[in-house]
Amino acid sequence: MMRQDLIDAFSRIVGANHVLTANDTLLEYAYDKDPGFSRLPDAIIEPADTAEVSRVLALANAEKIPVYPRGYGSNLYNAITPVEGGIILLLRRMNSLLEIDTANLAATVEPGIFVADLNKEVKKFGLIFPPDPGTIFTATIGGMVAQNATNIRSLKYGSTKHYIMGLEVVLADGKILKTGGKNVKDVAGYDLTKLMTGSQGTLGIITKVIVKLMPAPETQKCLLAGFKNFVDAGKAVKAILDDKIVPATLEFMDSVTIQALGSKAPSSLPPDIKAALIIEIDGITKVVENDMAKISAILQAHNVQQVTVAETEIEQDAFWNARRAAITSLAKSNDIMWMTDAIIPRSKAADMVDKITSIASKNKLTIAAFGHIGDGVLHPTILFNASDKSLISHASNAMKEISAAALELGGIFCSRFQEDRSGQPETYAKQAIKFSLDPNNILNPVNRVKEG
Amino acid sequence: MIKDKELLRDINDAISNCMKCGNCMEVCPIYKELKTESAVARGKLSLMEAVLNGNSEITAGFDKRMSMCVSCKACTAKCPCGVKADELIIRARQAAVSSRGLHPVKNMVFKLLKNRRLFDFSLRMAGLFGPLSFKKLPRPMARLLRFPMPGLDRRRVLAPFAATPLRSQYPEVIKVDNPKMRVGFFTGCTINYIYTDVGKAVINVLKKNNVEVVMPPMQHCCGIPVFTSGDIELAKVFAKHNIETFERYKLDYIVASCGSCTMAFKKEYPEMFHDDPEMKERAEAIAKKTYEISEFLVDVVKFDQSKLGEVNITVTMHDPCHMARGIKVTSQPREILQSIPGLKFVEMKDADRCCGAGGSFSVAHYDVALKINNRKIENIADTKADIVATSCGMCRMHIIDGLERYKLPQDVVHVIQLLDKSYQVGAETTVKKSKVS
Ligand SMILES: Cc1cc2nc3c(=O)[nH]c(=O)nc-3n(C[C@H](O)[C@H](O)[C@H](O)COP(=O)(O)OP(=O)(O)OC[C@H]3O[C@@H](n4cnc5c(N)ncnc54)[C@H](O)[C@@H]3O)c2cc1C
Ligand code: SF4
Ligand code: SF4
Ligand code: SF4
Repeated sequence: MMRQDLIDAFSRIVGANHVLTANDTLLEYAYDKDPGFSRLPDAIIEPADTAEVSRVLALANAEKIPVYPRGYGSNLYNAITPVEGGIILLLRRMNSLLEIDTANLAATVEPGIFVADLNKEVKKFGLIFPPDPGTIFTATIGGMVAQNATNIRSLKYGSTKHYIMGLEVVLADGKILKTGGKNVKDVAGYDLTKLMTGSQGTLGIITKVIVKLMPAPETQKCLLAGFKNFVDAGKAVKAILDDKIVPATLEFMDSVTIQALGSKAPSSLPPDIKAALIIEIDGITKVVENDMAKISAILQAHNVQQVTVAETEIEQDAFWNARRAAITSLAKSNDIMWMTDAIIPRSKAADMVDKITSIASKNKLTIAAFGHIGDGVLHPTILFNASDKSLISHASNAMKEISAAALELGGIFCSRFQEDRSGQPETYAKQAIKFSLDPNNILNPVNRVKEG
Repeated sequence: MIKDKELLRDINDAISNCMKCGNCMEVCPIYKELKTESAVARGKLSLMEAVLNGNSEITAGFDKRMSMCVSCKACTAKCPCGVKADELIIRARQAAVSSRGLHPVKNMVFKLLKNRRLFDFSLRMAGLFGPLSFKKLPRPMARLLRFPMPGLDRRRVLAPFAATPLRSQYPEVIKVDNPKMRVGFFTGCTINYIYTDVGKAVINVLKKNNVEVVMPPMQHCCGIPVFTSGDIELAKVFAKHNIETFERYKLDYIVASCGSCTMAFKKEYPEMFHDDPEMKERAEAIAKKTYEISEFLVDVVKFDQSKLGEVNITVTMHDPCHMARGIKVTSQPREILQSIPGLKFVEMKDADRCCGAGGSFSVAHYDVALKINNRKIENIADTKADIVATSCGMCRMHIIDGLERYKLPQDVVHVIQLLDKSYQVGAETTVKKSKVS
């Protein structure tokens, strides 16, 4: 419960109807991904502009009240559950598109705008904002920047951070910081834009974003390839990249993932498929046609079983919807899902899948693997039933083995179930940054920084 | 209170399937307007979860939030985890109903509905005196409400009640010369009391195809409005009554000309009796025979296309939620429209998006229903069509209301009315031709 005098003070800043404290409303914002993992916030505050955000933070900081910025809440890793109580700062009202600057290929937006809405507007000028975390209809720009969301097109286009030219950020004490700008080279000294991108709401509240736009590609082609074994698929990926072809996307799904998709799996895939690739190429029509021919030849040379080229936008959407549904379908298939990120040199992707398969059978577990294989990003995902307690130790074991396998192949591994990293230099540096900018630890105090 | 929680408890598993991904937001018409968490399925589900966990009670706030849903099923169709949010919301209302009674306006309407004779009588009275309470507008079937009626927004255009209900205008059995089958016609309330023109068209078209039509006079409202409001017990009374009524006749099929009514017979009745094997079996026998009229004409009757005459208009189509996602009938009405010579069919954007009517939702939440409706009207305007075809009386009324606000000239009719028109033109031209020859 928030003190009445504080409720009044916040109401004077944002207006009484934008300080929500009714119990039923608080309950709607108490949760995140996991059922049962929830904690009631004390208030939900909906600021209208930067000045209001600044005044809210100044007061919260003086009173040492935790603040959790929230976009649409689609992060899927409990990033916005108000674990310490306090304020949910809802940015939905700040959703304007402030400017599209076609000369500088830039747009300035407020954080609450949905990515799909931004794309709809810039499309009118023949431009695109390429990052697509698979949730463009539900993710806000603020959430994407705060998470540095990766991207199903990142092989060619990079991740969110490559499209952020400048930010306006309100710091914990209410100071308004402006970083970067529309000039391509706009940094002297520390690159604060990059520091804030991916800061997960722990260093400040993003209130404006200048994004970089790209001309829309002339043509787009998408194909789906099915293989009888993943080694062939992995080798095909390597061969494509070695041939200097840069697809916009190169996505991989193993048989566990395809099975979990059920009716959402593309209908053209034969049932005995062990691995599938989704490949999208875009650019100048001539080049795209040329690349498609080369890719087809490479796929044939690697024993591909089935190649389907999307002829219509609807078919293309069907491929993408399948990939976008991967996480949710896996989550549905079992009651516990430990999803991890293994980032390995892409030449080793097939080896990694191979290792995951043997780790799964050794530990008697189901482990799915899918991801942006073109970037070497795989998501080994351990699935099991909570009712069998013995499986938890198997799963932890498998987690360690996957981590070791990734490191052995020259990659890195992250999971949301991290080992203690305190004392490491990296953690020290991150904590130093966090606590000098937010000495009272009010911004998203989920201990994320402590863990590294 | 304990019992109400139990009502929710058996849906616990269903709720925990929700991974809070928020995909349902993308399609929820209420969210588009309100942009609050309580508008979208995800927020409602977490509120139910809180009640189940004992973190909250069924309060007036709970009630209010659960009422913000038009039961359009869009979230359920979109959900990657297979959560049937629309049904869960109805269950939550059921819990709320038993703990605190219905929304006052609805309560009044449903008290009326409970007593069939009283209902029939008062709606007939409304029909007879309709012209007094509805301002006439320059469009057939639409009147602006002149006197405030409790709970109805006065800005709203409503269709007047018909002077004589459909079923009083026809005999119980409508014979044809060479009947190839015998069907029972479930008229539903909107068609019996308001849009009798649709009922007439259905009868004409069936007759043209040598189908004998039976209209059991004892039929009652399908019960969907009370069902979606959470009064399951009352809905079961209606269901049982309708099942018994139709069982009394020897019928090859049962047809209805409204998506919601058809869904009631085909899906909701068997569901309602899931814990009563005998009734369930009877409900299923009825369900198997039931078809929506377009579906029936295309899939079963294979309607006669040789007698169709030219209707030179441009038509667009709105798919009612219960047609698109409830019984999944969208291709058949289009097939009928496209079979009509001279008719030009244009698709509108988001044809299957809710129009905001949502059964009695628009009675209790007219402002939100209006906003949802505005998007529909703009999409209609973009098509430049002369006429909007649809398959539900509530949608028809709500879209006409919107067109009136936008001062647009289009009329809204049932798909079958256009088919009926085409048969009429066909008959006239044959007459003319035979006169010439
Ligand atoms: C099915 C599914 C698939 C997904 N796939 C991917 C994927 O492939 N790659 C990927 O990277 N992500 C993925 N995500 C995660 C998610 O879509 C993105 O992370 C998205 O960018 C989150 O946006 P949001 O508006 O929902 O943010 P929220 O969930 O509301 O917030 C995310 C984080 O950002 C902070 N935050 C939000 N707004 C601000 C602000 N204005 N200022 C400061 N901090 C802020 C929050 O405090 C929180 O820590 C997926 C999610 C789903 C449901
Ligand atoms: S109901 Fe379905 S779509 Fe909506 S948040 Fe839950 S899982 Fe996602
Ligand atoms: S049924 Fe329709 S109105 Fe109700 S929550 Fe789902 S999408 Fe929204
Ligand atoms: S759905 Fe509507 S029209 Fe059909 S019977 Fe029920 S109340 Fe009447």
